[in-house]
Amino acid sequence: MAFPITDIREDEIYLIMALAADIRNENMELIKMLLAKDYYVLVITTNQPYDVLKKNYEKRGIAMEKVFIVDTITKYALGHDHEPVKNCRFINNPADMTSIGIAVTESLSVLKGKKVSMLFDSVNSMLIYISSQNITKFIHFITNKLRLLNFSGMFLAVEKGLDPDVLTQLTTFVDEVVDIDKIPQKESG
Amino acid sequence: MDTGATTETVRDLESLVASLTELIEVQEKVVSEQSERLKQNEEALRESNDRFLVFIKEAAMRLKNPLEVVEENLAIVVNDIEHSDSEPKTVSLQLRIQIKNLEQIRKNIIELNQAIVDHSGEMSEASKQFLTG
Repeated sequence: MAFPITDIREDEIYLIMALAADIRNENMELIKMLLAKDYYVLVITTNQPYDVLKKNYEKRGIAMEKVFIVDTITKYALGHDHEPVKNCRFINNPADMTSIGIAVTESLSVLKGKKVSMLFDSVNSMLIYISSQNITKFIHFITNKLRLLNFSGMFLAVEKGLDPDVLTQLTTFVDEVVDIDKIPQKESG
Repeated sequence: MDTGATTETVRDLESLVASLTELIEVQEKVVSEQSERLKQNEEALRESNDRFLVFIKEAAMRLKNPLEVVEENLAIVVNDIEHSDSEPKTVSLQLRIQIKNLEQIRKNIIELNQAIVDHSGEMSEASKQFLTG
């Protein structure tokens, strides 16, 4: 289904909860919605590699010119460098929060002054490699960066996959929590 | 009545009272120390249980949930293959990522088992080795 927030504010940060089976689709719907609103999008991917994202985006007619990616998983899985790609930074290890932080900071700096939104896909896949305590610190760091630059941001997470205490903490960093599955679908036709 | 004898009896009684008072003080001190030790033990046990509960919750979040992530990722790969929608190179990369994810999940399980071994006082060396090896 399409992302339900049609009137997102440029500087607002969301935690978007979806079913595990819907995460890939939500990623693409969000990108389409953001590009349609003239955003530049920085995707931090901890699950789907750049090659797969690019293929899926292109298949959905999503142009890559305004999409920038921080890919934390490809290099780690391959065990060697990916050939350089203009709009993508490859991180050695998904557990290396320092390198991810630097890549995000540099990518956001390049986009300074533009209308930007960040998409983090996903909190749950990052939990494989990083403790909830560290992921909470990391998301706090990212949301601070976004707020300083007046950028918007969206953190994708799998519904029921987070401990209630961790979810409560994450909720304090964002402006709104959107549970995709609880939004009534519009009747078609 | 003999005044000297009475005085002596009073002295004896005073001495007895003093001894009893001293004994009570010692007993009170012992009870107080034991009570403090018991309180400290209870506090240590409570803290240990709290830490263990936090760890169990963290482990559940880092085991159950990641397995669901891997499950969904594999379902996507299968779907792509069945619809002839993927190049071998891409399928290979997607499967490599799932192998890495499963490797990390195994490490997370060993970490959890280590915490259980550390928490459990009575466990044979063989069992400890099995859980954490």
